[in-house]
Amino acid sequence: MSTDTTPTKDRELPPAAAPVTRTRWTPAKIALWAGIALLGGLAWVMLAVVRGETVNAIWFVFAAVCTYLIAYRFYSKVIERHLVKPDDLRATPAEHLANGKDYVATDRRVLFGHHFAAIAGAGPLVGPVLAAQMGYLPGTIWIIVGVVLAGAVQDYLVMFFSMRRGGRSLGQMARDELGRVGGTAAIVATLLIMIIITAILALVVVNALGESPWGVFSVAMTIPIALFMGAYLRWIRPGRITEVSIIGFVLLMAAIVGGGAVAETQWGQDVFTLDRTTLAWAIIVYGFIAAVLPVWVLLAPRDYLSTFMKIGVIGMLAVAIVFVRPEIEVPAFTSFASGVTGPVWSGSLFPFLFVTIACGALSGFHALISSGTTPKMVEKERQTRFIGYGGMLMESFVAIMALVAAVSIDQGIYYAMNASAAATGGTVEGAADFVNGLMLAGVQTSPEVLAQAAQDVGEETIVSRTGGAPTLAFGLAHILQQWVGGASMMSFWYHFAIMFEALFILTAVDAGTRVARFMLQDSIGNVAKRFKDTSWRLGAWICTAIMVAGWGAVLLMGVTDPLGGINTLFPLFGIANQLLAAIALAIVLTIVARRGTWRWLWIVGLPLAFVAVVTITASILKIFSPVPAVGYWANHMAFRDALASGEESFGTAGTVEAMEAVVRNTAVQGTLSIIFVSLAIVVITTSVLAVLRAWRTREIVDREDAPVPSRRYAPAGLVASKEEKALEREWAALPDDQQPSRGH
Amino acid sequence: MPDRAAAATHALRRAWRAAAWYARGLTGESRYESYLAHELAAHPERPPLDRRAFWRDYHRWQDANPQGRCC
Repeated sequence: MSTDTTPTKDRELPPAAAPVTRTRWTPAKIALWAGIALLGGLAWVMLAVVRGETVNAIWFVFAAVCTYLIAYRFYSKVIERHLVKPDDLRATPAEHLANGKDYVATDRRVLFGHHFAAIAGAGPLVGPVLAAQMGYLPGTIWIIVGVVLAGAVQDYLVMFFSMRRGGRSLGQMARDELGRVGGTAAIVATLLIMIIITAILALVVVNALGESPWGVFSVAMTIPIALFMGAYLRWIRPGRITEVSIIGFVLLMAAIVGGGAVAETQWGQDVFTLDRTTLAWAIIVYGFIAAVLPVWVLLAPRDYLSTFMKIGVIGMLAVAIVFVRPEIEVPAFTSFASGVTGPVWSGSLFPFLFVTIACGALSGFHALISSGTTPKMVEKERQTRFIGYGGMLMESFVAIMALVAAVSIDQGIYYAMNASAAATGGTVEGAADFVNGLMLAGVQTSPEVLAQAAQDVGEETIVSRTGGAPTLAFGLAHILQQWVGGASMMSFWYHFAIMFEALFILTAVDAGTRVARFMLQDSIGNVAKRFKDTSWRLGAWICTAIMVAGWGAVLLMGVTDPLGGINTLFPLFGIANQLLAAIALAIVLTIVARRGTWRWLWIVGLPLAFVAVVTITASILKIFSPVPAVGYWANHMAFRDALASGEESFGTAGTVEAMEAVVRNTAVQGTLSIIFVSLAIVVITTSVLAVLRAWRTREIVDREDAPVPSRRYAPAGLVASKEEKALEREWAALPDDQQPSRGH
Repeated sequence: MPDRAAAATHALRRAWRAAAWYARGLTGESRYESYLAHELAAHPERPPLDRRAFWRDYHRWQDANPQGRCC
């Protein structure tokens, strides 16, 4: 770190930083924090130790919120004071590079919302749903402890260091800190990981919409709605985004209600009942078109809708859980927690739980958002704790709510929805037999129950609706109808939830394709110069097509996989995401070491070591495990041997074509696993070597921008302290021509 | 009584303004206003773009600088 930030105080301006004072621990304050700690402790005892016949969902809320408060108040402050060392006398890039476009100093509360909307997506909703097969406790502990020690730490540090580097992206920081080899490995890994993540998100949507005319109609309607919004903003009332978002939201609700009516008609069923392969192709074509069209046509307006829905639904679910306080149907641990062959996904608790739940506890993808976009909008350095660490705590809370929604529905229905079609045969009878055959204590179902459940949510069937989204929608509808509308509203709430997930997955798909296209052009540009020019239409189309072909192929593979798709591919998604986290943490570790902050290096080293062990073990199991349900290559060989010995059906594959498909898919998945883990090992090794070199030479390497004195002030946290308010008033009292310009 | 009613209206109006301010910030609608403020402060010599032209320019810029959304 540069040490020459002498406080340059302008004579005519008030100070740009509030004095950092030690908290005075008044009895009231001590009592408050003791109360929070006691309530949180009680909640953890209720969840982990008492675990009576049934547990009330409210304990999840208390355990989570109290832990977050304590972590935010104490742990993140330790990180701030000893490791980050922000300096409000330094101008942030938003101030000294202000350009009215991307470098815009933004109010911290608004930026918190922005950042949260950018990081929270389908990930924290889907992972916990799938993890519920092991019981509620393992997932809960990992989501809450993981975010405190790993996820929020990563987001906070990446954001801060990117901010000190003028908002550089993760890839650029990797090149700067890790050199050519490590940097290139990081960029290739990022590209591949984006392909996998996009494919699996798309797979979640396809699984939610397959054979569901209601869902297909209402989600398809988002396209004309977004086109209308785009045209409105372009020609009718430019820039009136709030207004058009409200209009769009009303139209969206109409599309959901209308979808119910359309799905009842014969023509509606004929037109909108699509099988999964057709839907996959539709999304591939759509993804290509959306990614090459100008953003104002489709992407930007749909993003407004998705932000609206996201914050609205999450807020509503939080309120509903507190009001309804549902009882939890799942035990703390199920028998699958100690085995390797659960019906939803296979693998042992360690390491696979920690990759199944990625977003919500630790998500490498966040490092891409926390570098680049958000750091260019931060007004004051100290605010990164609130926005980075605090924003991730919020996402973790979303994950907890998703877990609550998944564990409060009937267990028979949960397993019937999440077991692959290969296991249930796709019929209510087959699903009931399969679920009852699992021999789980207290889990019983019947074809009638499953048929009734499907009817309640206005679907043909709920059997084998894998991918997490339908289960979450079912759980959400189950909770919300107890609060608003009763059983007759169940189908509306179900499709409302499906819409909400589909909207932001599709936004993530085309935004992801676009970002990846630019990364690819940048990489190819090193060889073929012409590709560096991102405004070159043909180059853009070629690179978009390559990216879409990449994720499209994985998507089609998942849709047609005889083994079920989600249960074989989801671990790859989690591993990819966590490997990205390992890469981001490795970069941060190098930076921290080179700043000379040796005593507190463990704050980064701890999550890095954990996530490295988890992902490398998981990858090795996926590559080398002799259990076919776990190891890709074991499965590959089993099916190859079966084919070689002339068998015509094997396991859940009923035909020779299906068996050949399994051989192909497992080879692709296995190869991807090998590539991912090798790249991650290269990056982590490069980083550890850099750290060792820094230790030996004690050399301080500083790649931060030169400090510029700040000429503005804003409080650091959500609520301003007394000193901060006084300073704000001093600044507010300045004449207009001396006021700093503030965005938003 | 009228005092209390006035205070209540005042509080409601403040809450509404705060909500509208936050919504405009979150959607990015206030981007134009911050652009104006920036232009006024940094480039007073040139006339700023009007709202329509600003958004066209902004979308063009977004086309060339895509921003990711998370999973």
